[in-house]
Amino acid sequence: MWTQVEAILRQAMTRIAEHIANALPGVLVALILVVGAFLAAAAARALVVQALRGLDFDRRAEHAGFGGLVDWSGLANASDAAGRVIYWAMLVLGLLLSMTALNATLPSQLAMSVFQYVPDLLAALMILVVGAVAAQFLSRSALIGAVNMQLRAARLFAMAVKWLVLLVAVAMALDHLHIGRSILLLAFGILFGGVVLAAALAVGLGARDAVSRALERQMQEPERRDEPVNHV
Amino acid sequence: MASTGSSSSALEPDASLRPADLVVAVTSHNDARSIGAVARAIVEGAGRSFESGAVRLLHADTGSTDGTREALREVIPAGSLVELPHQGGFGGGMPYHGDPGRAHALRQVLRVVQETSARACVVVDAAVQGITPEWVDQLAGPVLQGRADYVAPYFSRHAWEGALTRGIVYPFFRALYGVRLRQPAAREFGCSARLAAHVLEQDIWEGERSPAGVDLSLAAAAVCADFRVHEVALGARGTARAAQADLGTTIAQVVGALFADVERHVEVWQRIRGSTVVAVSGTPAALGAATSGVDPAALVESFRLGYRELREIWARALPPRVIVELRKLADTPAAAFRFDDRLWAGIVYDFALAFAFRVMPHDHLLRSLTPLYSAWLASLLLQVGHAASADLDARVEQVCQAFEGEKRYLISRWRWPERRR
Amino acid sequence: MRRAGTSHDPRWYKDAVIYEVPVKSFYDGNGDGIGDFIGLEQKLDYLQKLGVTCLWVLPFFPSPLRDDGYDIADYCTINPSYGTIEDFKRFLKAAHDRGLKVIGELVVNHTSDQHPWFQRARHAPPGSPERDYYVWSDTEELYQGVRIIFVDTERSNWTWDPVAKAYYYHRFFHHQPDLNFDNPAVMKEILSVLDYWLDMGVDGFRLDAVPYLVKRDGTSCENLPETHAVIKAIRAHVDLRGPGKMLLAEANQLPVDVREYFGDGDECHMAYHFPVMPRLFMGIHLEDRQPIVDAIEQTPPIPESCQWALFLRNHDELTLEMVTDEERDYMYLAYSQDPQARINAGIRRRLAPLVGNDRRQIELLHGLLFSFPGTPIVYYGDEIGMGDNVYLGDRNGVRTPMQWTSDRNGGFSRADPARLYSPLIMDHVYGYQSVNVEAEESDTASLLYWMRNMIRLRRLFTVFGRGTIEFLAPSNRRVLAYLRRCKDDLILCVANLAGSVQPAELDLGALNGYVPVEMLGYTEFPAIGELPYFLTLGPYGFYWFELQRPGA
Repeated sequence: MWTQVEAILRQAMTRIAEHIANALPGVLVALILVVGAFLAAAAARALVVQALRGLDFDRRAEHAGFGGLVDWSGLANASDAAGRVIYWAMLVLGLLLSMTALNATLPSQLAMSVFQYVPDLLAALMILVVGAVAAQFLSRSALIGAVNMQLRAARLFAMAVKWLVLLVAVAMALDHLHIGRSILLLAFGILFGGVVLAAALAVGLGARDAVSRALERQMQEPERRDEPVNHV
Repeated sequence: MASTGSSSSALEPDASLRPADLVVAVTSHNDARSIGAVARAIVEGAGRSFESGAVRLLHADTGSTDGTREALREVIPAGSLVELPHQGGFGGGMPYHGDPGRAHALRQVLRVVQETSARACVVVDAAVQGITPEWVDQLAGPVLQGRADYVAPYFSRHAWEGALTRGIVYPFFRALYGVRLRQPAAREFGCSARLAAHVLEQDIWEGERSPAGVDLSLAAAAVCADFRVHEVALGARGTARAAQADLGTTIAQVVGALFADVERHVEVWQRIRGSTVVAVSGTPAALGAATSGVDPAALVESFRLGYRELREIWARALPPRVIVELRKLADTPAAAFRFDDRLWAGIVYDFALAFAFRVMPHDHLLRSLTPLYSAWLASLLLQVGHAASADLDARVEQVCQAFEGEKRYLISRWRWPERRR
Repeated sequence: MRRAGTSHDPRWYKDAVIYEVPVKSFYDGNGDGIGDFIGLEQKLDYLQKLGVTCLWVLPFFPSPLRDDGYDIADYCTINPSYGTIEDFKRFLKAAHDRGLKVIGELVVNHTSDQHPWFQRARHAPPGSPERDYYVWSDTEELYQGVRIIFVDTERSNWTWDPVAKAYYYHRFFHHQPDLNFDNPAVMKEILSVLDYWLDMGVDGFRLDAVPYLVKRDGTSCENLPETHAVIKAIRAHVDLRGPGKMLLAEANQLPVDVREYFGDGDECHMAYHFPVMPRLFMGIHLEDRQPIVDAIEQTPPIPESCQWALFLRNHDELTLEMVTDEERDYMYLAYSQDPQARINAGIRRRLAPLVGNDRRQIELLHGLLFSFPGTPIVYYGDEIGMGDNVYLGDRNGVRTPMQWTSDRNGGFSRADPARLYSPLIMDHVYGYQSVNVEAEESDTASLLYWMRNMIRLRRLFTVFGRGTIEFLAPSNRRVLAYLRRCKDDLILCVANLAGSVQPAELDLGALNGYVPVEMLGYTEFPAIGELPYFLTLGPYGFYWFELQRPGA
């Protein structure tokens, strides 16, 4: 019996050893890939930060109203933020790549699909960043503009501009990633339709008098517009 | 002085750039309606005061699309007019407020002054109303007689007209550069050949804000290089050009040009104390009382709205003490609404500093000044809105005194920005 | 801030604020542990913001680096560690775009013994033109009695060359043979080097070790008329290239002798004022103005187109060659209790450690530097109060990497710390963790902010660079007071050299009615009257007053 047990054990051991031996190169490759990705990511970050610094990106970004976004991200400056994004993105990609080397079917399929995604992902990221900057800048412009036009709801207006731009940016980014295209379309449709409908209902039912008064004022206003004041 | 009365005798029939005594330039931008009257006045004025062939008439149009050039050609014989080419750039079709090509146009005019070795140059904007033939001699005279290098007009205006000039441009310009030039941003002026040569070498012609404020930069360059300045009372000025821009844009352009010059002339203005009077020829027309179309209550209301919504933006440019003062002001009922002169001067200086230190995009900063300006204007109208010219002048003098008094604040913060933040 | 006209003025050096920067130590752009032109270019914004108007770049030529690059092996290329000639051109253009002038080094007294000229000379037969590029002798007898400069390392000015079978002459290290300016071929070579860099757009040169160019037996071999003839020839050549190029003489001599290097405005445009620097430190330590006043008053007048260059510290030791023996003893006792800090005839320390990291003394010294007649030179790192390391050998302790951040390597380089050309300062007081640009930029009360504002302020007033100086004589000898005057501009500077509060009574009778306006805060003081003007100064305090004409 002992010899049998021994044989089985030995068999099991050999099988395990074989498995390990089979898997080992993959693991090694995966490890190399991970390390490589890590290095590549670090290099890319350094490169991006260098390039952006060279382009004087920080000062420009601050000018463009990007400061808020950077403050919010808790990083020292805009080029560091960009560098960090690149760094993590490359690291994640490296990890996924290394999984394919491990020959695991599920992760490797995932990795492949993610890889096909990369260009879209980058584009989507770009859209988001540009959207965030634009939203910040435009909302402040809108606020100042609205106040100068003496709109009482200036802040609301500015907020609306900000969220609208952000929302459009997010939607564009998601659309770029082919995530829930139809749902997105539907959601947007419902959202906008809802807003318009709500506004219409509000005008029609609730604020009928207020609106008509406002319109009347609008109609009477042109008399004063004919005599613009020259401030200069 | 030939007074033949013949309207074209003073104009050199051959319009090639031969030497001339005086260059008169009309600048225009979609002024087909008014350019005819302006041109007739100039031709008559030139004929009355100058000998035959002594005057060169230029037309510098900045991309008009309403037949301005044709309208002028109807008045002036084709050979007597030199039309300066327009620079493309912004003009074509883009909805741009103000006129983008003005810097280019003025530069060309001044180059012609050099090429023709003219002794003087007069620039008149085609949108001006109320021009008389005498203007030509009044603007050119002091230069030709060797009394001045830069002749600015002194227009009489009601309290609600030209308030941006009165409340910011004039006091600020006067306090900084030490010259009491009332309308430094005037689009009509006379200048000497010497000044033309000087300003052509300055870097005021290119840059993001020069289109709107090149007249102002020109005056600042003249004053900073110690050129002699003179004013002539030209009566009342009206403009035929409809206000193209909203108040925020106007402020951004005019005040932006004013602030941009501040950085250009640091060495000069930091050393100047007090201000000197500018000689005026002619008597400024006294304007009677009149009612304005501007409602102070509405201005106060827009300030309150601004205070509520823009306070955070202002706080990036203004020190806490000022924000607290503004809060008090926002709580004041319209009847008792008074904007303290020193507070106003301090605010304008703080905005100038914020502009120089780039605490936020320039456009945002300048536009956010609008509600504050409204408050100041409301205060002015409530005090002297219906007063006669003399009372108004006295009031503006007080504002200027406040700007001169607070100038030390501007200098000390400029020299040590980290202090008192 | 743009200043029209300034950088186009051919006399720009009179209003300049110069920043002395070693490429090696400033910023490493390619991660090899050594600073380079790519890195320097990236930091130009910092320098522009600091307000300096001119960069003096220490030698950047190929060199065995046995004397920090002053031993040059090729005059017409860039040391590969610092980049390529293209990198340099890009840097130069970027600097000019920002309105910054760039001056380089012309080390013409000697070359490295690795220079092809020397290698050729030692193999050439005696008497041949190639051999005559250098100064040879069969004995050590020639030029007896010439002072040895590096007394700590060199025992003679002659060294035996076994290849040439002769002695060669060297005024500095034995690996730096002196060129022979009696050989016209040498002069021709030097002028072509000059042309090479001027063509590239360099705005001027510091002429290293100028007093020693020509040698004559029986003299001290310093400041000889023949040497002046050589400099005049160099100047004439530079002037041919148009206006705006500047020559700065390094002549560590008494001002009377240095005066000769200005000629009649036909030799160097600028020269260092060596004696004033140790006396500033001495005056502050003695709490007595006399050494400083003497140093300035003993300065001979110079031609109108010329200018003194002033500095507090530089890449060399704080040299005590030009002071008396007593003064040298005093300075050693006062400023280098630690014998490690002494080298040759000087003290190898940076500004902040010299004054015990006392911010008030640092400010006072800069206040004096910026308001004395001349063009100030700021040594890199002194604007943030960097420290030194006297244990690094030679003068390397004041040449450590610039401290940018508190990150690894002080943000100077991303290389492995072991690869850096020099360790960073890491002690608790001056270490890069606490003293660095990033930290000081986030602290508006930091020395860096103070320096920026002072430099900006100084640049507003050309009287500092161009005006005359006139000392007042208040009875309190701890107070240094002087008037700077240039045309209509009149500035009164008052400094307290003591570490305690001091009163000062200034006799300003001739300026009755003038209103002093303190320049830093633009505060008006009471007008000057008949009586002596009374001021109180805080410890190491100093005031600059614009004197405003009565009724203006």
